[in-house]
Amino acid sequence: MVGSGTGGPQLPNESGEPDKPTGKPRVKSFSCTACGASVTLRYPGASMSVVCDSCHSVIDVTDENYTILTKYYAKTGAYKPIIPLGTRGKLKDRTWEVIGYIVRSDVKSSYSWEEFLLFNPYYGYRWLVQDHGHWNFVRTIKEKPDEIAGTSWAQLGEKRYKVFNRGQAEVTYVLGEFYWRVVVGSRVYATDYICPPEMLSYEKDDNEVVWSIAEYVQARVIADAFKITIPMQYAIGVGPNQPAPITQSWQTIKLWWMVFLAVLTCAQIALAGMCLNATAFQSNYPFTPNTKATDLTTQVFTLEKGSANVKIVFEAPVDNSWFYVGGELVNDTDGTSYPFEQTVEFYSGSDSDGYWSEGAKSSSLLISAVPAGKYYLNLDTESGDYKDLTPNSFTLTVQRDVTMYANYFLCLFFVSVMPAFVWMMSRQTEVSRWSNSDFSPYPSIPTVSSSSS
Amino acid sequence: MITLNCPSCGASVNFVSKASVFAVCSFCKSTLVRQDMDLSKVGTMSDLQDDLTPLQIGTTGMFGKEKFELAGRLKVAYADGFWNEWFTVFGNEKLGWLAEAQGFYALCFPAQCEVPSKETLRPGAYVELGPAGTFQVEDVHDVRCLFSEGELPLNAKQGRESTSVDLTGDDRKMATIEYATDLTRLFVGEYQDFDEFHFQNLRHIDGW
Amino acid sequence: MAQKIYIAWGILICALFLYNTARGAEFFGSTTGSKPTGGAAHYHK
Repeated sequence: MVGSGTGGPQLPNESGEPDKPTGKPRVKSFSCTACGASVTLRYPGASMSVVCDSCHSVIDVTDENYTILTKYYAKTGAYKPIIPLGTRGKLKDRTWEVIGYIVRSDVKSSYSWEEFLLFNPYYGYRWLVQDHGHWNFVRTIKEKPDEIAGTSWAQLGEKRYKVFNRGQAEVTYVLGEFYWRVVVGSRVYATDYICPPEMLSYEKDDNEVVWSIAEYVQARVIADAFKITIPMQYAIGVGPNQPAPITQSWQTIKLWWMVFLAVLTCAQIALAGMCLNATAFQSNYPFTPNTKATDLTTQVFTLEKGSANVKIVFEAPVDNSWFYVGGELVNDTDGTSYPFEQTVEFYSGSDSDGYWSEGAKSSSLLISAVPAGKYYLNLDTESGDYKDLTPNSFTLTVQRDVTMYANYFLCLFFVSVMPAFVWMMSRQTEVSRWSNSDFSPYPSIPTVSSSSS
Repeated sequence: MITLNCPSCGASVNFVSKASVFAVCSFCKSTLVRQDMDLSKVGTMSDLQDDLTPLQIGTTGMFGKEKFELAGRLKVAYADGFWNEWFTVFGNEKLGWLAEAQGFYALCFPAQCEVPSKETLRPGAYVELGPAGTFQVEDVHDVRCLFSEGELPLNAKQGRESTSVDLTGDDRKMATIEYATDLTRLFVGEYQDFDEFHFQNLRHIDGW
Repeated sequence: MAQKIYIAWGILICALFLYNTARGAEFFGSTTGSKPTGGAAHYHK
């Protein structure tokens, strides 16, 4: 049954037992064994240790002896939890109360992070972990993931997680109450595996291995849930299991990019295969070097295929001289004109570096999408720099439906611009994510001071 | 349901299950042992301090498609804490136990299978439990009965000692082996989330 | 969102490629002829 929505179900007591008192939780107070100050235990039915607010000793509350677990005098207020103890907040439709606060550090690097113990009497315990401004909602699990031996992967159900860090964590500072006997300075071996937005971790001490799953939570959500009004710590870099939409986009875009490459390539091969590559007309024409001529008209020739390109090739005996053609391709039936101009030039010589040359003895131009039909060419020619003025000749070749490559490479480029950009941004994000890991798959830039081992 | 009278104070003592041999009178807290229709007092149950469970005698819930009711409770303590074992009674006379600890709830049923001896079991060890499959040992605890209430299918006197071994299997399967001086018992079952039980008639918790 | 834009863009490019290449047109080449202007000298036969 759905309850009133604050903690969990709140239903009237129907058993025959005497009425239980309602209202605020029954707290228990006692004198701190170390310093005598009054210590309040908010959940005596569940907590096993509590920290004295005055002297910061950790007290065992499982029996009335109230044995000291850690006699621990730290500066009062050395750490101030951003979510005060006792605050209740609603996360994922359930109400949680912050009952404990732990600061833990990595043994090797002394880098530390905060953990808030959350409690709900119906659902048990959860943790909120804050690290570099990144927040995670953590629950202990009973299922045992499979650490795939010899690899950096662990598997739970269908998901695979990649190892991110291994190390030893030590309890540095505590406030509030806990469901085990906390000892300041106690250590566990911990390993984290990531599969954003989740992190799969285990902690191992002499007695047991405990697995947990963390889910990344935006700092905003935490601030709203617990009504935090003071500014939260700014998130630095990319959290280990912080979801990166750009990386997810890259996966999809990469797939489609390959689809488009395949489509373009197959289309190019197919269309190229269908090209006629036919010579529609070829002829030689005389010209007098270093003069102009404006009276050349070719005979009529036929261009096949509904719509295709026309390649006109000019070959001229240029040698440190040039040959220019200005003309038009004219449709004999309707007079449509396709004007063009082309220069054939070739220069060569010898200097201190040896032989050099520039240009070629033939050059061509391409006219796009010319309809089939009967055509002829009108040509104006001109040449210059000829040393030998004896009349000469040039060759004109008209080719129909030649294979084109320019479109293919141009389209390859257009279709690759966005993927390249997205890939770069994704990689930048992932490199940043893994920069805090000892298991980064990216080559690292050595730094003078390293935050991890 | 059988109703008998408490030999100490005369109050009604209900037995929902034929298998129950032990009960605690809810009014005078006498611990009673049942034989057929006879009840005899064997002691008195001292009060429980600091109880924070959301469950109570009479709470009902669902396990899969079957409905059950909590008829009794056994609270056991060990070195690092405690948990509750609730005696669950199903409609078809099936009996089970609902283990409740730190927000984890598991329902298990008695099973018959060869179990290894207590000494061989250590956290991390693998155990084959017949058709139920392979399980891994989570914990081995020496436990002591701290408190009991309602009706129970075993003599749960205060201070009764045993060794309890918790195991987890694939998916959410779990198992418990209880090694007591007089007998060894095996239970196999599953973890389930609180919401999946659809509990009704829960105990009211102050402030929640 | 970015994915949708890219897919639309890619389909457009492929379509343009097929359309132009099949009819023998270069993307940035001349594709249209001009009708005879009438007045210009045309030395066809």
